[in-house]
Amino acid sequence: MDKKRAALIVQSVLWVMTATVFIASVVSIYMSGMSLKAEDPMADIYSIEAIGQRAVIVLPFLGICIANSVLLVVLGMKDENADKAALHVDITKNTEGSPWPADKIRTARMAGIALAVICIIIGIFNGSMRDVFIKASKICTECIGLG
Amino acid sequence: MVNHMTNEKTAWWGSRRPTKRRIIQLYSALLYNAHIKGFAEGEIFTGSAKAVCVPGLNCYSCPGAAFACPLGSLQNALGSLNKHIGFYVLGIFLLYGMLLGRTVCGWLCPAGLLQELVYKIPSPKIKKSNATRKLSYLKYVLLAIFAVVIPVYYGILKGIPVPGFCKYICPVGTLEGAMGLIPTNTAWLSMLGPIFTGKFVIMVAAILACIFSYRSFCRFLCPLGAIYGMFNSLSIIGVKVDYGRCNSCGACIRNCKMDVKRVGDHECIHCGQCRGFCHQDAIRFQLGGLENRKKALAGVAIVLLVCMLAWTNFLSPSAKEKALQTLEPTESDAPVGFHVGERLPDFAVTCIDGSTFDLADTKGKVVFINLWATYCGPCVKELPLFDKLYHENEDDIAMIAVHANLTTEDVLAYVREKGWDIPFAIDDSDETVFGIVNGSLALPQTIVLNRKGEVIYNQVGSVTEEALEALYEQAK
Repeated sequence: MDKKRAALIVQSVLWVMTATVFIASVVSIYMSGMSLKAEDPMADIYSIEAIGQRAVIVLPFLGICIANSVLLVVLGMKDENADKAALHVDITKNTEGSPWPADKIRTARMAGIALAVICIIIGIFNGSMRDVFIKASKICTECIGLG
Repeated sequence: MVNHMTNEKTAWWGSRRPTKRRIIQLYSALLYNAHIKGFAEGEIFTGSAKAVCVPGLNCYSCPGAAFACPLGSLQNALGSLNKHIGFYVLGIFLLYGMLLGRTVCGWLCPAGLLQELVYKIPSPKIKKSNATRKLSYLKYVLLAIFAVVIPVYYGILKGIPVPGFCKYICPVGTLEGAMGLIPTNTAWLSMLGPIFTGKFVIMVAAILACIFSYRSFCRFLCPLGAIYGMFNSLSIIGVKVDYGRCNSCGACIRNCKMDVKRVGDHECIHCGQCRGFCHQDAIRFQLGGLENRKKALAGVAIVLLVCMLAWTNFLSPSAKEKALQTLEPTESDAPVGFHVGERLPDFAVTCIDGSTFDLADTKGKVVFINLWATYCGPCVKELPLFDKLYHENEDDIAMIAVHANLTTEDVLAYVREKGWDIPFAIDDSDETVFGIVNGSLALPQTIVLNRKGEVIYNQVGSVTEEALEALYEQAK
């Protein structure tokens, strides 16, 4: 194994370890928080203290990964195979991709855009545009995963 | 020597300078998130631009977001099909689909940009294969289950809005929304639980996957890409093949990092990198008649960005600030305010049944104020708990549930249908009640006052039955 390959593998192991530590930390906060909540319903699962305790472990991993990545970029190390053609994939001839004649495609496009404009205009008047505004400006916390 | 160094620098820059596509990606990310001060203040933008869906995936709960996310809007529209058909969202998808298809993914999606930047981290890369091609169909399964079936099932049959993909999966929402809002709203930590934990794990896994595999979220998970992919064959803008010149050598497909089988199929993001591999010069980028107006387009784009930056950060007024300015302090030992230990100023609101709720009349009672909205799933789920607590302790508790001022629904009819019997009000256009209690831009929120009118609890997030009981005991 050449040095470049070894460096990239070490780098990937570091990232996997960092991700694992991140996940383990958040799961451990959740588990210990649930234990606290079982005793006191008003207790928080996530707290600044709990996050701070795990951050001491997580942040050094992240720092090492970032520093190592910068180093590899500066040294110009990258997986050369990434930019090479993939040989073992099924492909279809480009010429087989267009079952419709060009004029029909053009008509379908125009019809689609006209329908889109009509829908948007109807939507402005039937309240569905207002709905988008309401839900985007007064967010439901659980709906975005804060729960 | 100096010349040699200059040449080296030029060569270095030449190989690294951003492409047109990268500049447009960065532009889109900045335009979508023009509300830059939101990141510092931890407040989301609430201007009227939020009624407009952008083409790319960009969470509307991101503090920077100046527009709405099309995928979130789609799920909300599907969840309220029993109220009215979401023609606007349908039209938006049709328009973007017919005009751009997955060009959106390749050029106009901040999530796509982020994935491409993460992929630049040096590591051994996983190349596309027939296996990744099969895995790319996973996004259609996620689209069907989380973005269509769950919102429709819960919204229509159960009456509880649940945007399944946003709630349980979307790593972009976790990164932009949760990670953007929590650092400046640490009180929100109290509402984090199993859903956040699951989504955080998904976010970390998605970012990790993007280091090793090109645009892995985009290729395997993104329902928005799945929708736009269905329009790809018809889209006006994007890469097109000159079939007269193409000799079907397959160089374009084999060198493409997406799971395409031919140029322009449902997996093609129209990034145009295949043009560099075509020896026949058979692939061109079609701009739908705008080829000669690139400079004018660039000018319009710059003006639009400057206007959005100025409007979202400096000109758009905040309703909450307006409401707070009108407050008049009341006589009390405790300072007037909405924080724990402070005393809420008196206010009166007209309830939806015509009665009046006056905070001044609640002296000696424990007061529960709940901020909610019909479209907020957790709000609808927790209100029966408030209803129960109120009726069990009606002589000792005063309660008001204040609906957010923005609604297209008949709240009175909704409340009657649910059978809830507590005082309900809808906040006025100035958000007076939300302003007084520091109503957040997120729902639900619960405020509890003790018998002296002092705030003992003011938190965003759902409350359990046990928590409500504990708060009542604490307030007595």
